[in-house]
Formats: sequence, structure tokens, C-alpha cells
Amino acid sequence: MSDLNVEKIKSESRALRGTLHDSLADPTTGAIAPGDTVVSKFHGIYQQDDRDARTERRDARLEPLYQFMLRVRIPGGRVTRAQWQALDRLADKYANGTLRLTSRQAIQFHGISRESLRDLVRGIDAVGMDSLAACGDVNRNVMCHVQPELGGLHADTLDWAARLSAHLTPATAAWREIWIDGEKVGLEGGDEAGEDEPIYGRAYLPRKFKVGIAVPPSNDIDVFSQDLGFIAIEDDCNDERDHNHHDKRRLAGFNVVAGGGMGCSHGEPDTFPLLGRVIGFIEPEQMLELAEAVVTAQRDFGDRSNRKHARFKYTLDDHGTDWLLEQIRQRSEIELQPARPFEFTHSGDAFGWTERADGHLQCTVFVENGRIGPRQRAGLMELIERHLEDFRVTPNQNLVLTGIEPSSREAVGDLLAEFDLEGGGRRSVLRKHSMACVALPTCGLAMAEAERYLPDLITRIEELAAQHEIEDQPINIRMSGCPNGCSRPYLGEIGLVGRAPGRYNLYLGAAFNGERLNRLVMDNVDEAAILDAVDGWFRRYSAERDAGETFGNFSVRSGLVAAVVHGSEVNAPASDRP
Amino acid sequence: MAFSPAARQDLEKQLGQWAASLDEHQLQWASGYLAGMASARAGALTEHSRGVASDVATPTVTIWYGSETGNGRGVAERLAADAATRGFSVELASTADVKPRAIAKLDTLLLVMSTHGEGDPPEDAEALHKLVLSERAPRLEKLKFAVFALGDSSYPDFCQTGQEFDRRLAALGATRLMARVDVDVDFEPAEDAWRFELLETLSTELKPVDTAPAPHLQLIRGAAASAESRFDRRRPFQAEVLGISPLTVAPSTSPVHHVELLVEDSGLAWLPGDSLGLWPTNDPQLVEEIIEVTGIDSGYRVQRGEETLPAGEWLSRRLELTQLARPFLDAWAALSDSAELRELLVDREAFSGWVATRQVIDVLRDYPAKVEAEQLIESMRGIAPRLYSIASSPLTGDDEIHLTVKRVGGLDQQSRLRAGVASWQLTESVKPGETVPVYVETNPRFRLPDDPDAPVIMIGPGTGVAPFRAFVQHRQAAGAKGPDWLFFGARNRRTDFLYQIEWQRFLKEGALNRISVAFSRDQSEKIYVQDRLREQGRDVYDWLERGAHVYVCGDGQAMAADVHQALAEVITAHGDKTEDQATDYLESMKQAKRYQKDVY
Ligand code: SRM
Ligand SMILES: Cc1cc2nc3c(=O)[nH]c(=O)nc-3n(C[C@H](O)[C@H](O)[C@H](O)COP(=O)(O)OP(=O)(O)OC[C@H]3O[C@@H](n4cnc5c(N)ncnc54)[C@H](O)[C@@H]3O)c2cc1C
Ligand SMILES: Cc1cc2nc3c(=O)[nH]c(=O)nc-3n(C[C@H](O)[C@H](O)[C@H](O)COP(=O)(O)O)c2cc1C
Ligand code: SF4
Repeated sequence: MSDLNVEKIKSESRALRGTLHDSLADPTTGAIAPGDTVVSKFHGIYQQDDRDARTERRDARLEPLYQFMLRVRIPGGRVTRAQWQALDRLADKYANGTLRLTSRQAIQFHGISRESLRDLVRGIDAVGMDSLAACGDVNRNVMCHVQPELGGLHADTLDWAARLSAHLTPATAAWREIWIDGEKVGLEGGDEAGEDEPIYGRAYLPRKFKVGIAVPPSNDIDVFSQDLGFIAIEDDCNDERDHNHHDKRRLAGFNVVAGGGMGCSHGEPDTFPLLGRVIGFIEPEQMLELAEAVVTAQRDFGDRSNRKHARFKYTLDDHGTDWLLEQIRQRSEIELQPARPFEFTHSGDAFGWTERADGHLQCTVFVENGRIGPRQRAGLMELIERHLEDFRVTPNQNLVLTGIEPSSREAVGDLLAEFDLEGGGRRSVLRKHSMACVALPTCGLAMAEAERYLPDLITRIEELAAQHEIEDQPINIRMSGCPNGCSRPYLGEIGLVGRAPGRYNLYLGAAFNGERLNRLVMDNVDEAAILDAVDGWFRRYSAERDAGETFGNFSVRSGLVAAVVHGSEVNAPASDRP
Repeated sequence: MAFSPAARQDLEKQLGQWAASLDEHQLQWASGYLAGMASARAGALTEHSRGVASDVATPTVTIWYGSETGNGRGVAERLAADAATRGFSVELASTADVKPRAIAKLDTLLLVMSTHGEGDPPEDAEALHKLVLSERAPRLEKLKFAVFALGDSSYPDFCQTGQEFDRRLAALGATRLMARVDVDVDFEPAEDAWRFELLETLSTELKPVDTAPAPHLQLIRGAAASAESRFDRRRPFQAEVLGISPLTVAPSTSPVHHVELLVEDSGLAWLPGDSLGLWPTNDPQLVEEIIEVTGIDSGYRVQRGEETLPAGEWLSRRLELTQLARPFLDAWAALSDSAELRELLVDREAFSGWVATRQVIDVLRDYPAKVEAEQLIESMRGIAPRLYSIASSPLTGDDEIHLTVKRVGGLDQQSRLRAGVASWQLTESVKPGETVPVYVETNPRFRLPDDPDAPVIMIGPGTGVAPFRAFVQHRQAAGAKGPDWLFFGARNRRTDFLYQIEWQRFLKEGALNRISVAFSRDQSEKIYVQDRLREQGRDVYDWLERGAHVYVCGDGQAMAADVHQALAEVITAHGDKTEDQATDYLESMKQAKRYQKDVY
């Protein structure tokens, strides 16, 4: 769709209406009008086609098997019992029978026919969920650490996440009009054309915008990959880390991280992942105002002439931190204070059981690549209907089961085992720390398999880990089907990015806690070459690592790969490397 | 136009070269044909003017044919040619092109008449049929006549229409020159015998002057349109199969394939609306099964009619193994001495349903009989060609004929072959590079408007869409300005939208202006093309008023009837007319050739 003039379509969309109403009714095709595929994204709906079926259908002179992906926005990832029951039913009725937990704590349906879209959207609306702004050039699902009950700090942060999400949600009524009421809306120039988007304006943002809140020591949301990140900071008066006194912990404010992002394109050195930079500290009450200031600065300064250079990370990289601080001052009168110290020990999720303040238990379970098929769905339905308070979708495609009576711990364990959820706890740490994006067959941008292939590759890598006796060492392995990096592969201690069917770029050297990007070490290689390289690295790691040294840090210290300082080095050819 | 000596020499040369390529039969035929063209040009286009003929005292023989799929027309043309070479002055006409009452003025009428629908007259003969069978029919004392009736013995009302004409003409006082002949779809041998005998009779009845002055054949408009190619039903062209590709995908319930044939250097000429005739070959698996069940020896040589061939050869190329025809069942009822079969043969209702889902092999299995190879082969019907609407325009210039073929039947539970012979061959068994015997069956009654600016409405659900692909290609290539509107229908959009991306491209390019689709199974209530016609009634009527030509093509009599009904309703609703006025409206559209059907 790159041939579409997205800026024009956005500003002429009459606050995200476009011609969707007519598109949905065209009986000669399963698709919607090209312009509307841009507009629909803002509604959380992507037009896709089943890529496995492409050739057969082309030969049969049939159009591609157009189908849609719908992304339910879930700020902070909390899904109530009623909501889950609805999602479960809708997946069968209107989608391909699966639910897909995403790397931003949202949930996706795949394989929806155009005719089923309205019913599906009505279904989620009925349980108080929506998909507005789950995609598109607006603020996306606000990420937040998923276990607020573990302490006042977390409770507050989740609360702020919700407020921030509400504050940055587009004002347009188009979503409800088109999907719920299904009315045909007024023509060009009608009132809705003038309907004002106080924060976004007529043309919305130059590009998607992502916000997340991390609570040290966990960097589960990969705060440095967000356009705008917040690191929760505790009151100094109390440096208690002991969870038995969690209620003493108070939220002092947030360190602000700006300008992170993963996406880049093969062979285009001007595109690269970047880590966000810590620009200072704010009080909690300043959060919404600050966020709005940053978002509007990006709205006004972001590069609308080139989508590949439009993300906030480039705006900031081009203009610099002082410029941003100045913008914030002008737009909000906020003076950032010096950043406070913080420490992240890990990215990814902390699996297993934890006890809550009120004595209830929670369990973080591994969902391979976030894909929940019919079988797992059955198990989760039993769990939520019999034992749980609600579900939390983690920032890494996994699930937290909450509010479990200590007495039912065993029952829950048995159900997990019975329905092969998290392999009944038998999954290796390697696997649990792996993450793949969706890629084929639904993603239109995929160049290689990811979700459907990583599990097999991990099995091979598990064998190598076992040979070298490092199978107990968690290592972040992240695979994406293309350089857009939806699984945040440039933050994987081992990263794999699709080039062509069966071929990947291989990356090494990110920090286990998400504070350092990795670097391209092998270009366009197949499985044999990948395994061969990994085998060599594991041999050395097993022999030469220091006590407690993570694989990523080892790979840099031992000189297997040179540390990346600026994102532009991530894909740099060997020749011009330090 | 002045005809200079130079020009004459030039023409002589051309004719000479061309004549060299003809055999004697063809040459004689052509001489008559050309003479006919001449007189036709001279404006002799009404049924009674004798043109050139009138000033020569040669007795005139009138040959009329009622023909929907071209067989009868072929018979009539061959008869006309032979009659002309025997020195008769011949008037050949389609019953669509004559004034029914003119029958009263004729001395000699040779009527070639097929049967369609369920015992109905072919469309072009409807008016004549109506008059002749009505009370208002003229007395015909002075008329001498003979009827050649074409039919298909797998239909309950075999040769119904020919029989009706034969009886009624006699009843109106006309005298038979010869007893009526009813032929099945394998009519070639019978036709030749009949033609010969008939012309002998004529020669004695009314003496023709022998061949000087030049034999004369007068053509009434529309007739003998198929005189171009060296190839026809009797001399098919071996066309190379270029490719076969599915047009539907799983889980479609009725697989349809696109078939491409190469007709390079064949001289085969066709226009959109024409069909391609194919002589099918029975599948070896089925032949094998029959040999096994009857226990005959496939190498054993058997005589049937003039010919002697190995039994296996008869079964694979010459005989009908899939359709069940009455004569075969009659014969088999006797051979197997089965009471059940005998009952069936007299139960009209049960019969048609019964044969629709059974084939010859099923009868051989379920009603076993010990038979000699001769008996078996004698009992069966000769195989007949199958017709397929040509789905490509000659103007694309690639010497390819494309077909859109729906597979009939398939493998049964025991994975035995129970499929249509031709559709199975074309969709499943023939391989690219192999050849199939084909010929063009012209259909002058299914033609694009002469006026390139005239609007066109095409209604073609299922494989009925095939000719419309040729229509749209043709109008695009010819730069026709008139708007085109296609109505297509099938079960599911995702799996059965034949040529979907081509229609989308035509729409983009403006070659197709509008498409209305009805996918019956995509929603709870069933929707068909006729429903879309009603929905779009206002516009449909506007188009009709603007002179639109309407074409209906497809599988099944029901569809055509429903569409006709819908059109009538549209006309009453939006042209505020009474039902009778609507009927007349459509009738006059038919007369003006603005409402044409090709249903099968
Ligand atoms: C589902 C998900 C991956 C997953 O396996 O979980 C996903 C899936 C897709 N992403 Fe993503 N992205 C997902 C998280 C990410 C992340 C990770 C994150 O946000 O923490 C990134 C990297 C961070 C970033 O944004 O830089 C990411 C960077 C992209 C990009 C590249 C953006 C860029 O700056 O270049 C694209 C392509 C684009 O936007 O042009 C993209 C586009 C897509 C699309 C919608 C493809 C498309 O535009 O047609 C993918 C849909 C595939 C499918 O069939 O479902 N996705 N995408 C994640 C959904 C997150 C959510 O719930 O909102
Ligand atoms: C003018 C015209 C145009 C046409 N255009 C097209 C076209 O464009 N596309 C197209 O596809 N067709 C077209 N047809 C139809 C085509 O000519 C054939 O009639 C059709 O393809 C079936 O022929 P067949 O040889 O495959 O089947 P046949 O062998 O003629 O008939 C199969 C027989 O098998 C029996 N049978 C059927 N189903 C089963 C079953 N499940 N189990 C057991 N027995 C069964 C029935 O008795 C049936 O008669 C057209 C016909 C006409 C007259
Ligand atoms: C749709 C259709 C219906 C037919 N119905 C009958 C019928 O009812 N009785 C019959 O004897 N033959 C029937 N036939 C067979 C034709 O009469 C036979 O094919 C004949 O050769 C066609 O001659 P024509 O091409 O001159 O029309 C039917 C053929 C078709 C295509
Ligand atoms: S990384 Fe690429 S292939 Fe994977 S989901 Fe994102 S866009 Fe698709």
C-alpha cells in the first residue's frame, strides 16, 4: 500500500470515516477500497490476505483471499472474565478460531471475513472493549507492567496507564458510527468533517506512536523501544525492596524515556532501530500534560513527506534532546527534573507463581508466540470460569492468571498441564524467553516465517544448549519475519530477522535487561548456518562466562560482537564497524 | 461498381487458388452457395420472391429448419446443397426468418426440426409452431412435405416437435413426400440415408431441369452462416490443448475449469456466441469396467452399421457410455429380462429422474445379462459431440479458443468413475499437448448488436458467463462504446466467482461498466441473478428503454424461465405496464433480436 498517499487519505478521511461504509457493501470483492485500508487501521482493523492461498487463487483467476485482522486494545493488558468469555466465543464465530496475544498486551483476531467485521466489533463492544486506535498513526495500546497487586507502586502505574491511554485516544465518533450503529455518515463537509481532534488534528500523527510504563527492576515492556517511555520511580524515603512491606512503597514519579523504536528496512542505512534516551524526571501529575506535549511536538515536527523517516525516534535523533525539552517547556510549561537512578535486572516476563498482598496467588504462564488455539482456549475457559479473577496479557505475548486461591493452586497446575498450557511448566527457559512475530500467512509484510517456524528452531537450539550444559540459562531469542521488528528482535540477545523464505539476518549482543541493542553478525543465512554459529557461541559461553554473566553481555565482553552505541550501527556492514 | 478485365483476371486467380482447396462435393456446394449470395445481394430477401430463380423454370424446393444448437441447420444446409446440385431451385431459411403464414403459398416444404426444453420447439420455430398447431392454421392441400425430426432419446419427449409438425401438416391436408424420420443425437448415418432417398423421391415427383442453367440456391437471411471452415461436425479439427486450470477452489461444490485450445492454421472462424463442438473419448477406466462387467473381449472385432472395429475401440471412441438413452434401456430390458426396467420405461415421471443419476455401466451392473459383444454394441447409442460456449473473442488474435467447463459427476464412493464423458475429459484427464477433435457450431441467434453503441445486458450465472467473457473481450477489442452490464451468480464469492479478477480488470479498463453478482450461499437467504434484476429494476428498465440488448446464457431451463419472469416484472413495475404489455414488450425485443437466449 506504499503507493497510497497516506497523508492525503488521512486528512480527507472526515475524522476516520473514509468510504468504509460503501466499501463494506461491495459484493464483487472481499476487499475494501484501497484508501479505506488506511482508514480502517485507525479502527484497529487491517486488511490482509491468506498468503498460503495466493498462488492457487491467482491461477484460478480469483482475487486473493481477503480477510481481516482485528486488534483489541487493552491498556495494561487486563481482561475480565466476561470479556474473555466473549473473546473466546467470537474467535470461533467470526475469526479463525484462535486468539493472538501480542507483544503490546493486546489481543488479535485473524481470518475475519469482511462480512463478519461488524458482528465481531459489536461483540467486543458489548463487553466494554474496543479496537479504536489499536493501529494507525495515533498513540497505540499503552503498555504497563502487568502485576499491580504486587505493590502500591504497580497499582498507581496501572492507573496512570489507563488515564494516559484515555487522554490520547482519538475523539472521533467514526468507530461507533461505522461498526456499531452501521449508519451511513454525512458527506464531505458534513459536521463530522469539522469534528475536532484536540490532540491529533485533521491529519493525525505522521506515524504510529507508542507509549509504555515500566516498573523496575522489570523491563518487561522494553521501555527503551517505546516512542515515549516512563520508568516508575519509588519514593526515596523508602528503599524497601521486600515485598512483605510493599504497601509502604510509593510512586514518586517517572523518569521519561524518549525516541525509541525498532523498525527499519533492509538495505536502507537511513532507517534503523534506536533506543530511547532518558531525558529527565517528572511528577506523576505531570504525566498527561508531558505526553501531550511530546505527541503534539511529533505531530508538528515529524516528517510527513517520508513514512520511513516519520517515527518520533528520527524526529528526536534529528533535532536533539534540547529541542525536545524546549518543545515540552513551550507546550506544557513542564521543567523536567534530573533523572533519578533506577535499575533493570531483566526484560521479558518473570514466569511462575507469585503471592499477592491479599494472599491470593498469580501465575505467569508461557503461551508460545502468544497463539491460543482451540485446545488452549478450552483450558483457559475452564481456568477463568473456575479459578481466576481475570487474565493479564503480558508485554511478551504471555498470560498472567490472577486471583487464585492458594487452595486451588494444584487444580490450576493440573489444568495447565492437561491443556498443554505452558507445557505444564515443562517448557525450557530458552523457549520461555523466545518471542516471534506473527508473519506468515497473515502478515502482508512478512518476508519469512516467524511464529510458525521459531518453535522448531528453538528445539534445535535447546539441543545445543543441552550439549553445552547451559540449558538453565535464560537467553532472549527473538525472531521477526521482516525488519519491522514486531517481536523487538534488535533487543534479543540473539535476534533473527527474515530476509526471504528460509533465510534470516542473525543478530547478537543485546543486553538481557533491554538496555543495549544487538548487532548484525551474519547476513541472509539459512538454518544450518544459524545453528552452526549458535553452537560456536554456546561453546565459548559455556566455557568462558563469568558467574551470573548473561549471554548478551558475555558476547560483548568476549569480543564475539562489538557493542552497539547508536542504533545506526545495528545493520552496518562489517567494514565500517568500530 | 465497374468490373474491369484486370479485376476479373485477379478474381479468377483468387477463386482458382481457393477452389483448388475444395473437393468436388464442396465445389458444387460452393457454386450454389455463391449463386445464392448473388441473388441474396440482389435483394431477394423475402420468402416468396424467387430472385434469379423466378426467370428459370426450375421447380422450387423450400427447406426450412428449426434449430437451436446447429444440428438441424447443418442437416438443412447439406440437403440444400445437394438439392441445388441436382438442379432444383432451393430456398433455404431458418424458421426464425420466415413469415409463418407464408407456408400457405408453398408447393414443397422440407422441414428439419429439432426439439428443445421439455418437448418444446426450438426458439426460432416458436412462431411457426404456434400458427401451424393453432385453430387459425391455413389449409395446406397443395403442399407436399417431409419432416426430419432431431431429438435426444435420453429425453422423455423424443422428437416431440418434429412429430407435432408432421401430424399437423398432414391433418391440414398436406401430402407426405416421405415418412417422417426421427433421429437421435448420433444422426449422421440416418441423415445421409434420408437425404439420398428424399432427393430421389423429389426427382421423380417434380422433374428438375438438369444442371444447365446454373443450379440455384437462394438463401434467406441468416442461413448457411457456417460455410467458411474446412472443418465441421463431420470433419473435426484436432485442436491442441494448451492448458487447463481450475477457476474454482476448495471447498467449492461444483468445480469449473478454464480450458485453452490452439486452433492455429485451422481456419476455424467464430464469433462470440458460437459454441465449440467436441467429440469426446470415453475414459479408459470406464471402458475397462464395462469390459470387466460384461466379460466381452476388447480385441474382438464387431460390425456395427458399415463399420467393423475392435470392441474396445467401439467403447472408447464411438459409443455413449455415460448418458442413458431409451433405445439402450429398451434393448437391455429385453436382454436382462428385467421387469423393473420394463416398468421404468413406461413410467414417464420416474424415468427422467432415474437416468439423471445413472450411467450405462450402472445398468450393466444392476441388471446383469449374458450378452455377446455384438449384442452389447448394437444396443448402445453412438456417441455425440458436446457443445461448449466459446469464452474467447477471435479479435484477441491469439488463435486460441477458451472454454469454461463444469465437471459433471466425478468418482463415486468406491472411487469408480461416474462423470460426464466430455467434462471429465476436459477438466481431469486430457493433458496439455494432446489434441481433441473439435468444430465450431455457429449460433447466429446469439450475437452482439451490430451497433457498437448499443448497451448490452448479459445474464450468465455459472458457466453461463462463458460467452460473455468473449463478448466483453470482443467489444473492448473492437472499441465498441456501448455500455456493458454483467449479471453473474454462483454459490460462494470466495470459491466460485468465475474469472473474478478478469471482471475486475475489465471494470477498471471501462470495458465492463457494471457488474451485479448474486452468491446464493453467502447469506442466510438465497439470492439469485433474477433477484438482482428485480433489485436493480429501475436501471434495468432504463437500459432496455435505451435499446439495450439482453442476453441470457446458462445451465438449466429453470434459470432462463426465472430470469424471463423477473424481466417481465421489471417492465411492469418500472414501465407501468400490464403483464400482457410486458409480455409483448419482451416478444418484440425477441423479434428485434434484442433478447437472445442460449440455455442448456
Ligand atoms: C501483532 C504484533 C506482533 C506480535 O507478534 O505480537 C504486530 C504485528 C504487525 N505489525 Fe508490528 N506488531 C506488533 C508489535 C510491534 C512492535 C513491538 C512493540 O510495539 O513493542 C514493533 C517495534 C516497535 C516499533 O514500533 O518500532 C512493531 C513494528 C511494526 C512496524 C515498523 C514500524 C516502523 O517504525 O518502521 C510495522 C510496519 C509499519 O508500521 O509500516 C508493523 C506492522 C505490523 C502489521 C500490522 C503488518 C502491517 O502493517 O500490515 C503486523 C500484523 C501481523 C498480523 O498478521 O497480525 N509493526 N510492531 C504486535 C502487535 C502490537 C500491538 O498489540 O499493538
Ligand atoms: C449450446 C450449449 C452450450 C453449452 N455450454 C457449456 C459451457 O460453456 N460450459 C459447460 O460446462 N457446459 C456447457 N454445455 C453443456 C455441455 O455441452 C455438456 O452437456 C456438459 O458438459 C455435460 O456433458 P458430459 O459429456 O460431461 O456429461 P454427459 O456424459 O453428457 O452426461 C453425464 C451423464 O452422467 C449421468 N450423471 C451425472 N451426474 C452423475 C453422478 N453424480 N453419478 C452418476 N451419473 C451421473 C447423467 O445421466 C448425465 O447425463 C453447453 C451445452 C449446450 C447445448
Ligand atoms: C436444453 C436442451 C433440451 C432438449 N430437450 C429435448 C427434448 O425434450 N426432446 C428431445 O427429443 N430432444 C431434446 N434435446 C436434444 C436436441 O433436440 C438434439 O440435441 C438435437 O440434435 C438439437 O438439434 P439443433 O442443434 O438443430 O437444435 C434437447 C437439447 C437441449 C440442448
Ligand atoms: S515483523 Fe514484519 S513480518 Fe513480523 S509481524 Fe511485523 S510486519 Fe509482519
